[in-house]
Amino acid sequence: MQNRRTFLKQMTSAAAAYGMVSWPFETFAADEFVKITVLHTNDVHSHIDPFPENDPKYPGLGGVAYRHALINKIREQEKNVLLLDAGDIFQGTPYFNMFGGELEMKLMSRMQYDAGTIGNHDFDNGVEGLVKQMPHLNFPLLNTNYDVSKTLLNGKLQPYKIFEKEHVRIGVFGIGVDLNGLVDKKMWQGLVYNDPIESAAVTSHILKKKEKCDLIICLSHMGFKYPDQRPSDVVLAKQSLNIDLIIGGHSHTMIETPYEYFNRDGKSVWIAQVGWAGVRLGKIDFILRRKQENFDKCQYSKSVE
Amino acid sequence: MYRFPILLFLFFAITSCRTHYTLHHTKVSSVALDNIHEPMADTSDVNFMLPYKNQVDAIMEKIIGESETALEKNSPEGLLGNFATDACMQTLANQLKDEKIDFCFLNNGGLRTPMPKGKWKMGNVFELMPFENELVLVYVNGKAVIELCDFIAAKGGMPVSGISMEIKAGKAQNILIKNLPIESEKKYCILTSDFLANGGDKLTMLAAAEKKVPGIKVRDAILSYIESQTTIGKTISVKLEGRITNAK
Repeated sequence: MQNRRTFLKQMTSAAAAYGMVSWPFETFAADEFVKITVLHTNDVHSHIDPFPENDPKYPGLGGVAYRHALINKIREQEKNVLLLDAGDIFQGTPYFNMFGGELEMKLMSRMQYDAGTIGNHDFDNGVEGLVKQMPHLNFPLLNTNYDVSKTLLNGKLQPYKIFEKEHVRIGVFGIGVDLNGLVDKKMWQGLVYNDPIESAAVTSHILKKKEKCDLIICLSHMGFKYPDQRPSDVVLAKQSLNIDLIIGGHSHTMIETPYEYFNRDGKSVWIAQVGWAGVRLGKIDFILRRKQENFDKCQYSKSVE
Repeated sequence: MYRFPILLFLFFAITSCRTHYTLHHTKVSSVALDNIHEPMADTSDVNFMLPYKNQVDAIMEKIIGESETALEKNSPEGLLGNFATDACMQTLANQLKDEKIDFCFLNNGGLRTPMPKGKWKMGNVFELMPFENELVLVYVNGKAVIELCDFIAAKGGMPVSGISMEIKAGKAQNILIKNLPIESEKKYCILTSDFLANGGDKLTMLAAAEKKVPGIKVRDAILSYIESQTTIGKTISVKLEGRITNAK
């Protein structure tokens, strides 16, 4: 059992180690390097208040007001911050039963999330229940493998969104889990589930080649990995070509330090996920270097195949 | 595997020369949300949430019952599963006098949190059963019940009430419904959630069966049972009875 004090101690030592190995970024010419800080959550499941002090697993942890304070602090320190969520915003506390997700979405908007994706539990009050709360969002929900054209969600989701920070183009897209067997069919009638690995390949190709993104992030609600052949973040990472980071959800996997996998070209793909209920905020820094000559980029694109 | 036509690729290779930045280095970490670690909650959020929180607390803090023991889920049989299925059976038997419900089954995945020993608050029941699932009566013959029991056995047991069985090599045997052996041509009335009745948990065999939806949520049935016990001055008392066992 872990109390708050030992948890804090571990985190402090982790922070010390982190400081020692941190990249001496500031010593480089400012325009040569750009740092992009990605903050992420997943499966917050309506956990608006922190866990009670007598919770056996997460005593006193979590809570939106604390998360917001931490996000604000990081935003003061870092220039280029993206705040992302990998789905299952809804369901898990009476806040959802009583207000249908209104408060969750209003608070995420107050925290200025940049984008999110949809999890299976976000359909717990049906497509209608999700659509009803979406006016409380000031950021897009991204999904590229659900065909929602025959549902009330038609026109209300985006496949991807591009962010530009100091001339670095960051493409973010979302993929969802197969709802079959997870959510009562009447809750998602008309929605068509397409293969997420294939949808991710198409979308990330568009982001890389057509939209000229320098960094590509997938918000996935597929789950980290499975003993069988089901699509998962690990399957996606290995089969992908253009994705740099997969922010996962669904399996409630607590990944303290994101895992590095290698794609079909042998390039790094990071997989991150931070358990559930908002007890931890994921933070990943990408340092990008400006290419001086166009030649370099041409070489690079050739290696993409 | 996904492949683009070669011509299309050539076009992309030329135009992508315009990209200016390439990934150089990655730093990964995560930050715990701990109110010692991060002492200052955003007070404007706290104020913003307060009216919602007050409404939630007014309902969820109400004491509705008391249990002699803590109830947790377990396989092949668990106290929490016995409690939830008994509660649904009892409430429906009281509210639908014309129906003879033979047995009830639910899924462990739907029971979201253990119930504590001692006083129970309304909020505990919402955490146990946050979903808005409704109860459904499903009518099938004995043969289909045997198939269902094999499904339950393959899962290593599920919460049940009114039925007992042994699991041997992932199959059900010695099935008794209200202590009577199963009759393959007899019509049985099963109580379960709409989630399971409509194919949830990959349970496909009941999807096409005859059904009745009385319009009672699983959570409301459980609440109603707890309140009825409290009204007559009883505490919740649940025991393991060998409803589902692994055959020796």
